[in-house]
Amino acid sequence: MKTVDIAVTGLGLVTPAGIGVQATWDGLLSGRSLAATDEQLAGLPVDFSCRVPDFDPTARLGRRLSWRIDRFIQMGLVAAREAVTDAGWDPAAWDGARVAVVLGNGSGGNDQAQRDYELLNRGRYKAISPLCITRAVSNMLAGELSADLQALGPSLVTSTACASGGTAIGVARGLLASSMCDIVITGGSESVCRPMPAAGFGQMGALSTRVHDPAGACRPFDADRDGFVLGEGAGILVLERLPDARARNAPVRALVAGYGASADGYHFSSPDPEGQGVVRAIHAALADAGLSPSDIDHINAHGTSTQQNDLAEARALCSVFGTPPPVTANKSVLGHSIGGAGAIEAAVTVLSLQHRTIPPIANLDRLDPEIDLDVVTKAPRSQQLRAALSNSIGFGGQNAVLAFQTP
Amino acid sequence: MTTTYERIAGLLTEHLGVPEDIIRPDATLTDLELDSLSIVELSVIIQEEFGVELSEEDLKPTLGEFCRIVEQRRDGSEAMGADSSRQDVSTTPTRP
Repeated sequence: MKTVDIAVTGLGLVTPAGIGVQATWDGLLSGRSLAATDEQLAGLPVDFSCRVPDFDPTARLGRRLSWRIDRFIQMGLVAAREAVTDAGWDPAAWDGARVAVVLGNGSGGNDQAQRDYELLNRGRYKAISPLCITRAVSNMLAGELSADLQALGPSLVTSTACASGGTAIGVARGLLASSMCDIVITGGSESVCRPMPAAGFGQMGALSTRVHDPAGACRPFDADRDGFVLGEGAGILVLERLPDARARNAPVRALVAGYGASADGYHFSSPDPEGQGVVRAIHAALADAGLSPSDIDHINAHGTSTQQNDLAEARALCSVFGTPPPVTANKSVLGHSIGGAGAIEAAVTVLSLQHRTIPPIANLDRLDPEIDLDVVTKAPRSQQLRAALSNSIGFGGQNAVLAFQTP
Repeated sequence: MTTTYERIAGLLTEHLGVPEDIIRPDATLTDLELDSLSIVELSVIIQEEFGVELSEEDLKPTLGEFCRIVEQRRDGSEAMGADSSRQDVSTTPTRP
C-alpha cells in the first residue's frame, strides 16, 4: 500500500556507452551492442566485454583519491557526483545527517586482487598492498560515496548478485518512506571486465562464447542467444519524498512507485523455469505501487541473453500480464555489469518515461519461438508511457522489481 | 642519473597523488598529508622499486633523511649482493 510518493530528482550514469546520462541514452537509442575484444582478457576462452571507454579516474577524481579505490568505486563516485548535480543539490549546503547512501554491488572490486594473491602464494606478505581490502570490498562503495558527498545518514550496500542495484533502490525507497532520511543517493556499480569473472562465469557456462562476433554476442530473447556478456558501469539515482522535491522546485524525472522482492528458492544458480519468483516480485511491486497489470505500459527486462533467464523471465511476464506490454533489454547494448545493471536499467526506465521512448534490443533478429513478447527491436519506439517496470533477477534466485510512474 | 630523492618524489606524485608543490626535502610524511595506510603503501612501493625493506621508524623523519636511509640500505644490500625485497619469499611453493 503506497503511503508517500518518492521522486527521482537526479540521475548519473557511467556505462560502456560513455560517461554521463546523455551518452548512455544516445548509445541505447542507436541499438548497437558495445561489446568488443578486451585486451585485459587476452588469452581467456571468452576474451570480450563491454568496457567503459576513455574512463580516466585520475582526471575525474584526482590521483589522491583514485589510486586507492577500485574501478567500481571510481565509476560510482563519478556517477554520483553527476546525479547530485543533476538534482540541483550542493553537498556543501545539505544537512548531511539526513542524506543516506544505499548502493548495490555483487562481488566488490578485482583490479589488483590477482596481483596480491600472486604475492600471497609466493609468501611475499610484506609486498601486499595495505589497501588490498579497503579498495575492493563491497561496502566501501557506499563508504567512499558517503565521505565524498558528506552524506552522513545511513550508508550501506545491498548484495543480491545481478539484482543488487534494483534491490538498493527498493531499500532506499523504504528508508525515505519511513523518514529515516530526507534524501537518498542510490543505485549500484560494478566491473566484471577482469580475468577472474571472465574465467568463473565462463566455467559456469553463463557467458556467450561468440568470440568471433563480440558485437553480436548479447542477443536477449533471440533464438540464437548463448549467454551474457561481461560489462561494467554505475547508475545513480537521487531520491526524495515528492512533497520535499516540490517544495524546493526540483524537477521531478519520475516517481519510484513500488518495489517488490522475492526469492526463487529453486536452485543456487538456475532460475525457476516458470519464473514463479519473478511473478511474486512483480505482483509485490504492483501492489506496493497501487497499480494493476493493465496500468503498466512498458517493461525494462532483466534480459541477460542466457537461454534459461530469458525463457523464465518471458514466462513470468506472460503469467502476470497475459499479453505483456512492449519489452526492451538494455544488456543487449551495454552488457551485464552485475551490481550496476539493475541501477543503470532503472535509470533508463526513468528516461524512457521522460522521453516517451523505448530503446531497442540489439541483435534481436529472430525471436525465440518459445517466447511470446512484444519486443522493441531495430529502432526506438515512441509511445505514451505512464508506468513501467524494471526487472532484476540475481544468481541465487534473488529478484527485485521496481515500478516507476510519470509524476 | 636520477637521484633517490627525485625517484621517491616521482613515486609520491605518480602513485599516491601527492601534489608536487608540497614535496620538499624538509617535509615530513605528515606534511605530505599521507595517512598511516598510505605510508605503508609507500614502504611497499619502495621495497618493490629499491629492494629496501623499511620499518615504521625509518619513515618518521623528513623526506630528505628518509631518502638517505633508503640510499644507505640500498648500497649496503648491493654490497652484500643480496636483494632484501626477496628475503620474505617462501622456499616452499604453495602451488605445483
